[in-house]
Amino acid sequence: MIIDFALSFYFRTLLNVFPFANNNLIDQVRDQTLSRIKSNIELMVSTNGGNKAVIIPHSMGVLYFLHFMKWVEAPAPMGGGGGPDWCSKYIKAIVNIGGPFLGVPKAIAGLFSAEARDIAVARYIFFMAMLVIMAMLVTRLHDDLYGCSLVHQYFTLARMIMLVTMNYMFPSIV
Amino acid sequence: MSLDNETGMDPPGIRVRPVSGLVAADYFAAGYFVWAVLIANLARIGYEEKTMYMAAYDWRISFQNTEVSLF
Repeated sequence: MIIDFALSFYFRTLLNVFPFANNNLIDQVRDQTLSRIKSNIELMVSTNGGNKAVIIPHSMGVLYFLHFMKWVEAPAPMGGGGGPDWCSKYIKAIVNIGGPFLGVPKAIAGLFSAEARDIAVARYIFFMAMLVIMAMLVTRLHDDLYGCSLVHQYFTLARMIMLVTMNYMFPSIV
Repeated sequence: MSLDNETGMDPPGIRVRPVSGLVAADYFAAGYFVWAVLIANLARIGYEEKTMYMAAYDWRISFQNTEVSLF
């Protein structure tokens, strides 16, 4: 079984106010989020028979995961000390959703269609696109011929999906 | 939500932290799903809490500052 791993930009906040707390000890202790992600991936891979993780970062989470991949292979104490092969050892595939990579073709379709207003339409396209991208990426990873051009495959696919979306929204102009 | 102007971390006396678990981002607000539909569909094909993990992080601070334990 492949492990799913969602990286989220959205979060709900817990606001805890401690007027009497010691600033040095409580207020400035941060989350060690990168270490938690590393440990969780390692744990999930080892408890699922060594099957690697599928990562699904979204929006700013895409950039955050790029940072994580650099961090985890960098030597301690600045990095995670996972060694130069950590990512290939634990990660099967990465399925970026709406990542800010200097703009995306889908933005045009989004501007014209106002698809976020209609959750039913957005929901249908979102899920279909997810399934198609996941299926294609996992298939391609098995294929030595395309194994090293994953990014190219992804953008070809993104273009195809954008065209399908445009065609669905505006059959008259595409 | 705002951070300390000097340190870029928590202002004195206030802590805001991301929620963990799949509930951290299933819905943005009532009726506005983010990951809920994907989670539900992955559950239909056999995924569960043991095999899905939501990595929520604090998007207000710099990426490396999500790691430091004592600033």
